[in-house]
Amino acid sequence: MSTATGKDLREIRWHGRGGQGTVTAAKMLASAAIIRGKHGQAMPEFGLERSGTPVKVSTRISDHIINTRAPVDHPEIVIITDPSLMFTIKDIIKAGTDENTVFIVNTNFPPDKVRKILDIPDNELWIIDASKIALEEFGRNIPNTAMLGAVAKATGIVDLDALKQEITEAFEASSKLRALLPQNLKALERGYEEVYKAD
Amino acid sequence: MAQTKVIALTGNQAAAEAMRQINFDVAAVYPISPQTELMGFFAEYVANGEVDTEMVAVDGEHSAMATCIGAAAAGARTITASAGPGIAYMLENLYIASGMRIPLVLLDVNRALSAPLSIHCDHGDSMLTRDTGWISIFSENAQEAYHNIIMSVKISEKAMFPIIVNYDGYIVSHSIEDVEILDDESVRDFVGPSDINRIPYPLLNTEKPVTYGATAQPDYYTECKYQQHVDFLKVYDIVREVFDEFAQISGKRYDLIEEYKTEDAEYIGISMGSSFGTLKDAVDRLRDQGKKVGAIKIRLYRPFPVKEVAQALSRAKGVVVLDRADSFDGIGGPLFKDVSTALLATDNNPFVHNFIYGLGGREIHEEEFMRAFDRLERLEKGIETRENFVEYLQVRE
Repeated sequence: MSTATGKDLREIRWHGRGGQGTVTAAKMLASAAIIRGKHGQAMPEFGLERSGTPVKVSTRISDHIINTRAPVDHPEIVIITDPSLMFTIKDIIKAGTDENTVFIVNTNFPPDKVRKILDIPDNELWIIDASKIALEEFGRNIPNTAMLGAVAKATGIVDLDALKQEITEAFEASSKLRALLPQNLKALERGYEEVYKAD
Repeated sequence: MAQTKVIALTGNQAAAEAMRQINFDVAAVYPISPQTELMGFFAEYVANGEVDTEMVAVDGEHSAMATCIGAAAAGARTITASAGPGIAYMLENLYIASGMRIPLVLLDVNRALSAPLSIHCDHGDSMLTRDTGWISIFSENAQEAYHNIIMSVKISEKAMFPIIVNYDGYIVSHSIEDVEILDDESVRDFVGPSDINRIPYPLLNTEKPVTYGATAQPDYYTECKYQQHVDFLKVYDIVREVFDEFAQISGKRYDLIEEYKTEDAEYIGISMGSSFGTLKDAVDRLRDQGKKVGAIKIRLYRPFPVKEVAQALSRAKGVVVLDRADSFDGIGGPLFKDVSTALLATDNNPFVHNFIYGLGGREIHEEEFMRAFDRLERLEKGIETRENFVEYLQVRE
């Protein structure tokens, strides 16, 4: 059985804070890929499991079986769901990245400022104010569904319809979340529409 | 063949799905991370009426196991789950379950033992159970956890021994992956109905009253243990039979061990649980460098597959055993001693080295396993020397 190596394997690392749905988003990304018949894996790195503490999650997607259980050390794509982390754990965010790493950042900062803070002058950079979308759509800073829309647009790693299906299934399965489904589907679409590639 | 569908599940979700499909009679449980979430999922199935299981909330793991033993002795199909210190707390009753020949299933969502306190994965908890007379199976991922749980019911009831199904806490339990699920009917047909008379001496059969847990005086205790000893050796064939039967519905053929590129391998790494995937990737990378390396996964840990391991190592020059638990005994990790003993069953005499890795959830990378192979080769060739059989693979000194 062939295993996931080389170009076919997409490796993504998420940085967020507990309570913002980062782990859920990373899992939904893998699940959406699995809906499309791919192999997917999402592994949270659990720390203290406290709301507000930094969380790191690895997502892998491939057409082949994924064997490794190591966290993603050299991400092709880095997703930052909480902008304050750029100041507090910049070294952790940048570990294992190079000039080819794509960054997708939830922030209301202009791109130049993000480039400067992260010291990524030439990297591909996508900006999305996912927190604003989340606050406008459902009044809480849970930017994960808007981030997923942005990730779909920026990377093409999964299509928007697969994410819609995954989010619909996940929200409908939960009595707590069911009522928030339309707002989250809207946030997903807005994330897809409003993310932009920095110069 | 069963109808199958591939869906995204965490290890705990996959385990809960297997439990739902089995639709067993009794679950006595006490919550402990990372098992809590699993039983949370299952409790939902119970609350929603999707299963007929009687769930008993007890005051601790010792009671959980005692309740399970009582239920299973009565004839109820019984599954419980725990982790880390919870396994330690139920330890006394584990011996009672195996000594009384109780068929029941314990899911061990592997967690380190305190102190220092850690809720994260290693195999220290399961290693407590290795001499308890329970059958023990390790799972590499959510898919295997799901399959192993379904098979374990049948293995346990055929063997009339209790069985532990291990899967790594957090690394498997809380990570999502694609899992192929069988249809409910096929799973239920496979495990069969849970009529009390499926086991030889159910307590609830009032026509044939029996005593469980009697005293044995010095003139008979040995005979009881000898029966247990002899029957435990029959477990190998029972496991193989159930693996074969399961292959017919799932299309997935399991063996007691899994070999990866061992055929022409000079150096072989051995591990259990979730690290085996990473070990396979390490083997691939070393093969790309022209190294003749391979890997073995121990699926059935108890009884230990002595013959299979000996056969798989019968041509190797060197073996590195990767233990996710320390024994603190001056010899080496538990798996190291098992493998070293199994080598008595082959004329080959490979150099064997032992590394401890992955304690308390420490993440393990391909590069670290590659380093383990490198150290093995240097030791075997006499380029380097060692003070002890066992070393720590990942440590800040």
